[in-house]
Amino acid sequence: MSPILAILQLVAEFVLLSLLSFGGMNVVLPDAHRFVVDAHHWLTDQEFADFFAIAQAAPGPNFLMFALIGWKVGGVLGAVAAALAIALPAGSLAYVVGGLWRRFRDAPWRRAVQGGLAPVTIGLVFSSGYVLSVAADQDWMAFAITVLTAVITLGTEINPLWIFFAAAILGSFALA
Amino acid sequence: MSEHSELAAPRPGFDGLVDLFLAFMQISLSGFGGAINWAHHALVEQRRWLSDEDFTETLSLCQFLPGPNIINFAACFGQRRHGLVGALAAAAGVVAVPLVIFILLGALYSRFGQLRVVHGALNGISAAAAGFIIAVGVRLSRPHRGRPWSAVIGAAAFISMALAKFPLIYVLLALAPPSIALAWWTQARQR
Repeated sequence: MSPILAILQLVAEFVLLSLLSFGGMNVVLPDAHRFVVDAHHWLTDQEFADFFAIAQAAPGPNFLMFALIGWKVGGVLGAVAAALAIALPAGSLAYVVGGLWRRFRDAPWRRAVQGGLAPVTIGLVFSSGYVLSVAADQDWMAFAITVLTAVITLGTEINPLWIFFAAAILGSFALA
Repeated sequence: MSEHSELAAPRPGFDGLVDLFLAFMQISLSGFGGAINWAHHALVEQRRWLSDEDFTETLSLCQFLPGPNIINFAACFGQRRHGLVGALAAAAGVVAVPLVIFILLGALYSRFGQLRVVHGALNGISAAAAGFIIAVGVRLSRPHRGRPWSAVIGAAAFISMALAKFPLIYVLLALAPPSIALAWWTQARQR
């Protein structure tokens, strides 16, 4: 397939995800995985998990993981197109709705929409955790890191960055 | 209300746009562990462009709408300060420099990603990140305890997305309307 066609397909998917990501970008990871790994084989499971890790650790917003996917699919052009496809649709919506917010902030339908989307979002966040752990946890050591991180995050107020740092050190010895 | 008189007004013209770009670039580059915490630091504490109250209100809008919260914040706040060009300057500040960094990292990854040490470190981080996201899910679920329909909808979303791998749009079209109706009904009963 020509790279331009692949980029266009990716952009169409990402525009959709940008507008469907109620609850933030973690909610759309499973669908991105389904599209780029399962349906198109543009990335391996491994690369998907690695790109997620890079996006967590790098300076910059985590949603640029989608730019890394774009980069893999179509180089620099793919990266720029993917970043715009995620940022522009949602940003335009926020731009338009921003001025109207005061008017509907307290409306009952607004609270019902938010309250109704919340359980769906929660199910999707767990889906993201599941898809990532399937991709990342190829042995018991990685699985132990996943479980420990969940327990520590829930039990303490520690900055997750310290956990990621420790996991990177541990991984470079034990998972290499 | 006295807080408002202390807020810093935007500089006019091009200088104001540069201010916006740089502020959001700073937020974006320091965005470890959620850019939004840094947005509060940079916009409310450091620059006094926003009151605490305004910040919380803008944030609640950005969390309600789809998309990356930090992009939504840049679009809303940039617009309020300098209209369309302001929104574009702020959003460009979020994306431009980090995008260059990410492309460089992508290039480094394709060269060194297969080195055992790099591979192991990334694997460790993604394993931890999976656990972190699961913990986020648990935290988000806590306020829903004692609402059985929430658990049913959440489970249906998980099964259809993670296990059955349906496209997200079908999952949302199938689950959001009944869930919103149930939320509406719960709300009406409480009133």
